Amino acid sequence: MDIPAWLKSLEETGLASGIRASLYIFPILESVHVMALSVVFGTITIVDLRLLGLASTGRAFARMSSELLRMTWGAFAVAALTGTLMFMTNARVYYNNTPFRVKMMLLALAGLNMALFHLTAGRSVARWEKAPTAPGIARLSAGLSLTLWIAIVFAGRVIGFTTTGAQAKEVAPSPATNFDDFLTGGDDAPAPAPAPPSMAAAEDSTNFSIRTIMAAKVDPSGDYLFESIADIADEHGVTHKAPRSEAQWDTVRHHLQVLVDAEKLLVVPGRRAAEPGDRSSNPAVENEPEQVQKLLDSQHPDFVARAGRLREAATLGLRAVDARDTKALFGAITAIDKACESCHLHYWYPNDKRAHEAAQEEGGIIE
Amino acid sequence: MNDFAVWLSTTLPSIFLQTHEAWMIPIIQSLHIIGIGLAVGSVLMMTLRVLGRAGMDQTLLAIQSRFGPWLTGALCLLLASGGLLVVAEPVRELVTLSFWVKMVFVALLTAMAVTFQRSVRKQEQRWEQALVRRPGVRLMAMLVFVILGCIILLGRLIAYDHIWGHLSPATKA
Repeated sequence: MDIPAWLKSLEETGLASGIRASLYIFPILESVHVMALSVVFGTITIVDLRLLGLASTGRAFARMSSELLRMTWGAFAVAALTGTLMFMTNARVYYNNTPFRVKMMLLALAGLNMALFHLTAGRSVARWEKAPTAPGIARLSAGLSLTLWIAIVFAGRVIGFTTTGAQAKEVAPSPATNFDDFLTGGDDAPAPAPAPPSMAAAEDSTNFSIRTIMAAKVDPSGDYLFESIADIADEHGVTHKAPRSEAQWDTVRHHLQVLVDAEKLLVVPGRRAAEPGDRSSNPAVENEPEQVQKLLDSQHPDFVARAGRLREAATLGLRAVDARDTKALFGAITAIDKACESCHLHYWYPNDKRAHEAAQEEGGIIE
Repeated sequence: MNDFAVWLSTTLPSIFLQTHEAWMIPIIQSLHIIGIGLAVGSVLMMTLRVLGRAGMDQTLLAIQSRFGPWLTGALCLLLASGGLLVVAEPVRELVTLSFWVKMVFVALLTAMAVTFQRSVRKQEQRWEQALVRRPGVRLMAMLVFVILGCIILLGRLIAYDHIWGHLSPATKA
């Protein structure tokens, strides 16, 4: 069996989907993982410092280490179990994640280091265990062990930072990629070679989450439009920034068309809020994907209406482009901004006080 | 607290950490976890010695003088790295239920550690001969593990404060 298929089947087990569906299980697994690893790290450090002759130098090594390593192994088993359960919920993403691979490699090295210690200085413990410092080879092994475990903690923490935000970043369009073909899965669609694992796994566009479509299509076009027209006040006075050449008007038209078409993509029934395993990077003000999903499921007609506002505002923009009317275009882009923000405030960050205040000041909140 | 957190997020040190967050936050969080490991190891050794489950080849005072300073050092590392995390992400940390309940437990555990260590240094004989056998003392020792577990759990739950539902200030507009 090939590895990606096996990883996919891991993700599809009842156990993995049960953990994903629960609001509580993943955070609790993570917490127990931290408790277990702190016992592993804490006890190993005590043993290593003894070997290095930096602490507990008056204690005989054998009794002390056997007492401590019992705890280390018990805690390691708990960490391995909770780690495996977390891995199952998003196996393909973790498997392809570099910090995860580095962490597994470091764990293997730590195991190897321990085996080498037992085969060398470990054989003659009785001879040196009462001396304040262990033989050179044991000190080397202890230094390596401390370094490896610090690196393991660091790699482990980085996994959490590179498996959520990274997906959205990686799908940002490059000029060479035609995302219309990519997302609608046209017959002549080019194979999306650099796609991250969660994307590669999707069979057709209905499998993409709203978050992915936003990152791939809506955000880049929105950002282009918001930048395309402005009054810039600086030391040179006030400059009006607006499309001037035919090529610039064409590009604005293209991005408006993307937003007009985005409505149909966004409102597909059953479309998920985010990819499995996605977490909010700012949960104090943002809803987590499962909360967004709940809102979407219970208020689909409202979501359809809000997506309609985006299409209407973008259609106004297309008319302004046809008339080469920069003032009307500015109005349409402001309306697009408000359509985006009011929907985000409703579904994505309803707890963001500052964003609410800003939206009210601009008179943009449409509830 | 919300206003304070918002203000803190506009100060220079906070903005520095925010603009370098791609590496700063994982590094500071890793140092924080290393601090937790050192604290857990030290607390484990002292508490298990009181319960007679480890380190019985050593006197209680010897165990205290080996691990007490390491616990103090770990606590300093935790306060420093934790403080930096608050400065880096004030709203994410301060506008949560988990953070404040965690602080209550941290204060409680610190008070217990200080009391225990002072008492052992002052009346070593009484601890060795009588106190370690008292049910109340043994209960307190076991309570230490519960508090330690709660601190770690709540620390991780800062990132998931919404699980407290309406109790979390993060869910209030």
